[in-house]
Amino acid sequence: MTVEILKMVFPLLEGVDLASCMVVCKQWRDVAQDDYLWKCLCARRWPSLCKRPSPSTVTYYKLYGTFHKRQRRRFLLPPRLSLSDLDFYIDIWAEGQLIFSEVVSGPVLDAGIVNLPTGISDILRYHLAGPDYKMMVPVEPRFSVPVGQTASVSVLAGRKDLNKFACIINKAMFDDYVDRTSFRALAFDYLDFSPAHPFISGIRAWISLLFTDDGTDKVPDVFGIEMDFCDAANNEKEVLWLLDMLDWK
Amino acid sequence: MASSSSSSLSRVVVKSSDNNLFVVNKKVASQSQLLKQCIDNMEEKGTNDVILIPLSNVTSNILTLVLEYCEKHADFADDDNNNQELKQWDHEFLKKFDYATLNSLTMAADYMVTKSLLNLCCQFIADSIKDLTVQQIRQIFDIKNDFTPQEEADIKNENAWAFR
Repeated sequence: MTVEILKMVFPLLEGVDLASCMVVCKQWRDVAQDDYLWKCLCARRWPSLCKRPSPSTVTYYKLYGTFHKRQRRRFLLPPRLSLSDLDFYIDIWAEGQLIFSEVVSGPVLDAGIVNLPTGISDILRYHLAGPDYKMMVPVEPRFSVPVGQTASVSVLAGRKDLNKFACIINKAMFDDYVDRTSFRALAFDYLDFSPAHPFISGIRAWISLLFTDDGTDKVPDVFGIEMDFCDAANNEKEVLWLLDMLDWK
Repeated sequence: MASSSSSSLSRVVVKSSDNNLFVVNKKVASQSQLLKQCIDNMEEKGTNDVILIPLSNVTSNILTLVLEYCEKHADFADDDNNNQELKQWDHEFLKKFDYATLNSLTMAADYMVTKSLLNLCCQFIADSIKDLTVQQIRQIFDIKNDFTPQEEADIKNENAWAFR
């Protein structure tokens, strides 16, 4: 295609298509990187932008690319907190009776369950293999919750770098304990954030009890406990940022 | 034949680059500003001879297409521009061509200053580019990727915002 035709066609394109054209070949790139085209695209989006003289340090191309849509990806700096600074105090009750009580360190919870025991349903196996970040700890010895009893959980986090505690979950009930089709029982609680982060709310911590499936009607055992913050944090870095923002006391 | 200064020609002859002659009705020829200008100039001089207009840049198969377009649009010249039937015809007209033909047609429309055909072709090409991947654009327009792998990676990276 001749440069003349490209110069007539490119002004008719949207920004993302013009960007694709830039990658096609050198001739297309040279025509497509004319900043006047990008100025026109910017002017359509933000008409007032062109009321000022051209920005001197930044091209319209750069401006359009940066703000063409809201940035979804977060670029997090390294968290100020590390897993090894953390201990989690996990307690579980069934009808007021303490059935699990452990202090689990951050690295142990992060390492998860290395070897899954036999007798786990496919649904659960699929969930555990999923890409979402989760912290898990095996339960040894296993326990079970008798049918008809309600279970509850509390989790405190302690951080050694500040010698402070924060509440993660405060006596939350395992609501769908009766429904065992997913072989998980879930409990959640809303996180309390530091007053330094006044506009954040509605982010939950989730605790799951993971059940075995031995194919009988026998009450299944809990072989592991999972914790995640999937409302907001989906990798280790994000979880550490989130925890750092809690109301540490 | 008596000649008069107010004479108006009813036909012109247009010669393609490969030396084929096309007899064209004036109303049809006037769709091209280049041809119209030639006709106007000759009429001003009061010539009554048949005008021959050579087009050194347009082959006869492309000229046939341009004239087909001009003929159709001359028929609708008195209608308003938003005629739906004409728009439909325009679309069907362009849809038939492969990319190489479309390219030549666009250049001919540019050369012959047939603005509505030029706009139509450019919009058609722009619409065909829309939503395609880089690879698809290269295929459809038969373009060779002349970037080195490193250059391509760099420019892709620079435009990463557009590819998600």
